[in-house]
Amino acid sequence: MFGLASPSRLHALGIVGMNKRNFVYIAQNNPRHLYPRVDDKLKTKMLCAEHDVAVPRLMGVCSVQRHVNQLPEFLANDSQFCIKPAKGSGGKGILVVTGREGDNFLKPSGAIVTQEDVARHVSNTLSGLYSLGGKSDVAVIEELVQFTDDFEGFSFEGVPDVRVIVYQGYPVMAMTRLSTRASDGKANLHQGAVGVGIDIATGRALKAVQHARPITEHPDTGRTLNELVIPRWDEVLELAAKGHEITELGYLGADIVLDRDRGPLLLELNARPGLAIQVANGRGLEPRIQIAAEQAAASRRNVHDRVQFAKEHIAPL
Amino acid sequence: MNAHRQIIVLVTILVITGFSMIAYKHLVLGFPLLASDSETVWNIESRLNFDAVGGPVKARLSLPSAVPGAELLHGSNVSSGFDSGVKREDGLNYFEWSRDDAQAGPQSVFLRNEIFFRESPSVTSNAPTTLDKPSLEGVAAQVQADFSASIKERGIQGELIVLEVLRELNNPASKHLGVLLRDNKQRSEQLQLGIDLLAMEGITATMVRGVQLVDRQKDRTALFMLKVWLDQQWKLYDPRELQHVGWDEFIVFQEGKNALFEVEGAENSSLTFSVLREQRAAFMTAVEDANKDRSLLVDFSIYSLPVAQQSTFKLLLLMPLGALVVVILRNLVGIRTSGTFMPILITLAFLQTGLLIGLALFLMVVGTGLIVRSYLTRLNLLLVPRIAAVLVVVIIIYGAIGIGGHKLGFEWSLSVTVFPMIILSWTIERMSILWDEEGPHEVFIQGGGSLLTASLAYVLMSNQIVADSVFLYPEALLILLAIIIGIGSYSGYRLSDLRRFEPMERY
Repeated sequence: MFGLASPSRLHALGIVGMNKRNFVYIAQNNPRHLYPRVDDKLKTKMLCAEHDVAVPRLMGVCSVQRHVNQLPEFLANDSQFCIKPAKGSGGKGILVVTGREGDNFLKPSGAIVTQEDVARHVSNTLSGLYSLGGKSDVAVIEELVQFTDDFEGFSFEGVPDVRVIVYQGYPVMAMTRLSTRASDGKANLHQGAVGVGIDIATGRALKAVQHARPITEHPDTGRTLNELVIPRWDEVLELAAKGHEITELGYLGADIVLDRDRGPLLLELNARPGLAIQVANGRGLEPRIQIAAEQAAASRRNVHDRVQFAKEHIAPL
Repeated sequence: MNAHRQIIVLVTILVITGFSMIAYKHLVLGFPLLASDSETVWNIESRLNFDAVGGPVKARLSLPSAVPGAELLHGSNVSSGFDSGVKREDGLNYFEWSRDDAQAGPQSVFLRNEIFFRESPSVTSNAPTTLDKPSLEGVAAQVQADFSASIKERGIQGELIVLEVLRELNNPASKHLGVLLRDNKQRSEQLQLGIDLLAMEGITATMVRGVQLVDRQKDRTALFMLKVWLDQQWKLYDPRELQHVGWDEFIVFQEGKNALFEVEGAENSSLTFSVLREQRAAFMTAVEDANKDRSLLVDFSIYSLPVAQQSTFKLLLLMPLGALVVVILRNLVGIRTSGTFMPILITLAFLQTGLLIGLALFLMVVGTGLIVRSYLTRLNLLLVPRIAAVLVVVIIIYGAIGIGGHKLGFEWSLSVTVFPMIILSWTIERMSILWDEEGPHEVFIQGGGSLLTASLAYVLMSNQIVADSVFLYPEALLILLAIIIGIGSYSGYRLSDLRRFEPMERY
């Protein structure tokens, strides 16, 4: 009625609303002092290294202005890398370099980036141009992910990543976001990217939505979306589940990309994952979170067992 | 005790306390349930001007006296550098300003009074005991005899005699008084003449000076009135208009031969009055009555503060209502706003400008600011200088709107200055970032959400009945607090969730 769902119907479907997410899942599972572990990408990377979690390789960190002058020497033999602000948000301030022309670098679009451009970018990053609230920051230089070809035709520009919601260490729901012409190559559902729900048990596409409406084909490439299968699915799930050990956060979203050679890599962790994943899956989070919570309270399992349990018992819900 | 149980207990306690305090005030202390009636309050500003000669200055102004049924407050006096206070001398109250080192040159001191009438006042106290018949001589005696004879001849009595005397005083060509009026040019001398005439007819009268209660008077000098004992009460007569004046239409500052004002150490002193009428909620009576009973609830409440501070609190008490609107719209409806409590600050500005003008000014400032800010983006400035630059731009926009509007004859545009400029700068900054990161769609959603929230809060906060009721029952804040805490622990769906997950129903 009036384009509104009935609350009792949503409740029956186990849909989690914003208040429940904020007041119950985030407030009760994610203590504030753990946030820096995910909000500071450098810290996340260090923790990942301790726990032996695969991430895009860290090449270096520029933490003081002096490092900026040493950059040309440091990057002398590299032609593919990306520079990120450690505390950036919303993808701001990320410089991707895919090629080299003498002393100059090339962006994916082919635009030339001079050594001075790189120095200025890093310098701006250090002084907090891209960080939340303008706090001074450090610039993280990491190896460029060699994206797998498995998603060919499923995405318009950009490369899809997989978002897995992990509750108390159990992967409970997953989706992948495919950029479209409408979303301007960004994997942002608000801006018209396609969300594809992924079956926890198999890594296969369940259903796809754009602007919260079901679709069957990619609007730009025309590929049938239910043919989408995430390769090395068990590894993806285990990587995501490890996010719990790394951060100790009870409710988190893990963003994972697939590297052609190295397989699944953990890109980012999020302490406040959104709820659009429910629409992409056509399922509610509530029953899955409940069973994960019961299991976590009842027994301690290792990552592998948790993933197996999720595939067997959580996926069908 | 877990958090959930604590919340239930806390909310229950708050609600019960709040409601029982309100019930007590209403049922026992007789507070009205809604503050819907209003009463008239007169604001009188007395301004004493003088040219100081340098050195010590002492100025005193006779204080107005309250008549029965009227409530008189000596309010704030804005007179920098002067020691001031109420002094009592020879049974008369003065307000005195003094300063040891006044600079030579023109100076002014101010006294503010508020007066309101609970009932139509009548003055019966201080009845005249004996009537001294003045001894008149020469021409005056002759005039008096003629006048007395003409009154007897026409058989007029009481009030009519008073009016007849005043008519004679206003007529320079009067056959009785003409000669005397030419000799006594000063108003006070003329009135003294009238008083003498009345005394000879057995009517007691004195001269009073003060200010007439007419709205929006500015820089008026003190007026003379005749205070006459008639029909067992004192009555006021206006010697110029030849009519009876009620005690609620005139405030007496000085009576008889005492000085209205005196200034030592200065010359060219003068006194002017400004009068302003104000409609105010009528619950003060209840408050005063409760105060007399020394009720603890009232004694330790906002009403025990000075009037000026009370009005500050009146505005403060409205803020929780704005906060409640924000909480409801964000957590129950799911409207996104730019900055959590920014809408309340915008509402405070709206309260001064009015809703439509406020909205227009807000859109002008933020719209122009966003255009300028989009250029600043290209310059890649650092955060703090960038916001500082936006702040400067915002102030330039304020100036442009104010001056431009003024030149075009839109005086309302000057009210742009009441908007909090730092908040607007931050709003522009945040919206600009939002535009870059999420696109214009999100900017319109959050901007519109903020304005909708501010407008709804405005509708609630600008309502006089709501404002007065909260002032009357500050205990209602406890209930408000309970509601806010309750919403804070509400984990059900928001209206926006219902909209957003609506497609899920159809899967």
